[in-house]
Amino acid sequence: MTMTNEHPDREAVMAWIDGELPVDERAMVQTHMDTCVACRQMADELRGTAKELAAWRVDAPPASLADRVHAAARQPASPVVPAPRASSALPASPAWQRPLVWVAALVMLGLLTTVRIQCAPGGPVCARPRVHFSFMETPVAVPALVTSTAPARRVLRADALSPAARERFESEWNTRPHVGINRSGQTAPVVVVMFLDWQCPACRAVHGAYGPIFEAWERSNPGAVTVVLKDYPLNSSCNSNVSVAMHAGACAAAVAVRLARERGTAEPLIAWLFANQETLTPESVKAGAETIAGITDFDARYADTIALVARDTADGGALHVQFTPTIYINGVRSNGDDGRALAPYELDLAIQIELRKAGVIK
Amino acid sequence: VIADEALMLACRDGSVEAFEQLFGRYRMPVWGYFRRRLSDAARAEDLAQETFVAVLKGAVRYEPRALFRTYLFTIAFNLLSAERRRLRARPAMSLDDAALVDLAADPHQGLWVRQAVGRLEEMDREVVMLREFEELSYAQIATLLNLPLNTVRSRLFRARTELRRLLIPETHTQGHGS
Repeated sequence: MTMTNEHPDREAVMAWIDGELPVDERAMVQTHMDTCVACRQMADELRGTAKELAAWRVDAPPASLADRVHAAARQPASPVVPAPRASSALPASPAWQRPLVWVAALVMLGLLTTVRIQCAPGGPVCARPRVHFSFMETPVAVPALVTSTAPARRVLRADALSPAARERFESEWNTRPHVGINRSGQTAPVVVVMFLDWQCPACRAVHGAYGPIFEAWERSNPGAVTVVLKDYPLNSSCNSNVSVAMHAGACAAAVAVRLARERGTAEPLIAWLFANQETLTPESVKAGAETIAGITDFDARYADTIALVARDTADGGALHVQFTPTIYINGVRSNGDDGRALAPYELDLAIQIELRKAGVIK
Repeated sequence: VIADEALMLACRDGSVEAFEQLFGRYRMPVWGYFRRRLSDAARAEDLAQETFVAVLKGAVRYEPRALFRTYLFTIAFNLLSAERRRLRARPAMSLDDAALVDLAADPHQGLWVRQAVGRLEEMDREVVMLREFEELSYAQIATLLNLPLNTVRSRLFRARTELRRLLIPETHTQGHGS
């Protein structure tokens, strides 16, 4: 340990707090701490940081984890479960008789499968009301993502946050810069502009998670929140802001959704696109558009429609959109610098803040 | 209370109940380890399961050379490293994957802490998280991350100092000196 002006070095103080100093050094630092106000203050600060970190709690593990692990442990037919032995000196049974060996073998054979609860179509969790928002010029549904593969998810609102966390979010939110967003003629007090790519997994996640929040606001304050979806396919063939065709079917998907919207069949098409994101190609999108959304003039309408998509991507380029989804709420970009989108309860809070500013709610 | 290592030896000798006791003790720490490091809760659960299954699989070869806690988190660390390599290798890893959202995260507090921890340099972050959340000793962290003990200490100090700056910006640590 080094000492500077008779103080132990700061790392040593930290190690002392952590109980990580050898006995002799510990006694030396302890003696110093008894008399040094500055070092005690530094120790308190280090303890304070640890206390702050404790706020990062995680939910209890899902019950399915225990089920899965217990299933693994109990998997072999072992009517007689050996009691824990106090000593490993007892003679071991032959390897083939040990349950754990059977478990290991089953694991290697891939026989321990994962079971996930899925959202049953029409079930209480899935049966969400349809709410209509404005989509560009034409009102269309912004459906909650309800597919047979969507896991049941608890919807958390802003009130799930502690008052202190809400306060911190609000003060940080209010320091974020505004950008000039063309509100597309929308007059709602809160306009949420979302740049999306139908082949982007994060867009699918956001689409599914944000839907219930938008629906809730529509129920409590009809017309107060408008959602404007902007196409931002991550494919250089229709988006000059990107350099690669990362998502092969994204341009076709953007066109297909626009055409489906005219027919009132966008909702099932979006669900289908999301469910097949990993394998979308222009051809499969076209085929899906016909089967799912009844679009028979895809080729004939492509050129005109992709020009509308290009209008959106130009908006995105002007805003230096770097991620999909990128989401603006009344001109405030909600993504973090790393692209992280707001959690639903944060979105809910941001909407609350903006509605309060507009005098719609108190 | 039976020591973890004794339970693991019993586990090696075929005791399923010993394993379940270990699972009961470490279910939350292992789940928390993955949950704090992965945005995808389902993957966190998968990897937590894989960790315990790996403990089971490895039980037949277990020798108490290190504390069970270190042994367990080494398995978890290796699984997480493999997962991160897999995520980095995915061809679509660029624009959209960077925006993957932590939709299932517990909102109770922690938002600012998560952001602050996320701003730390990668290895500093790992060191401070292993200390604060997994409650590993300096020596255990050194073993796990294959770092010299002094490096663990200096990285931990740097991480905590930076976290303090990020979390409590209005307070300034007073310097030493006479």
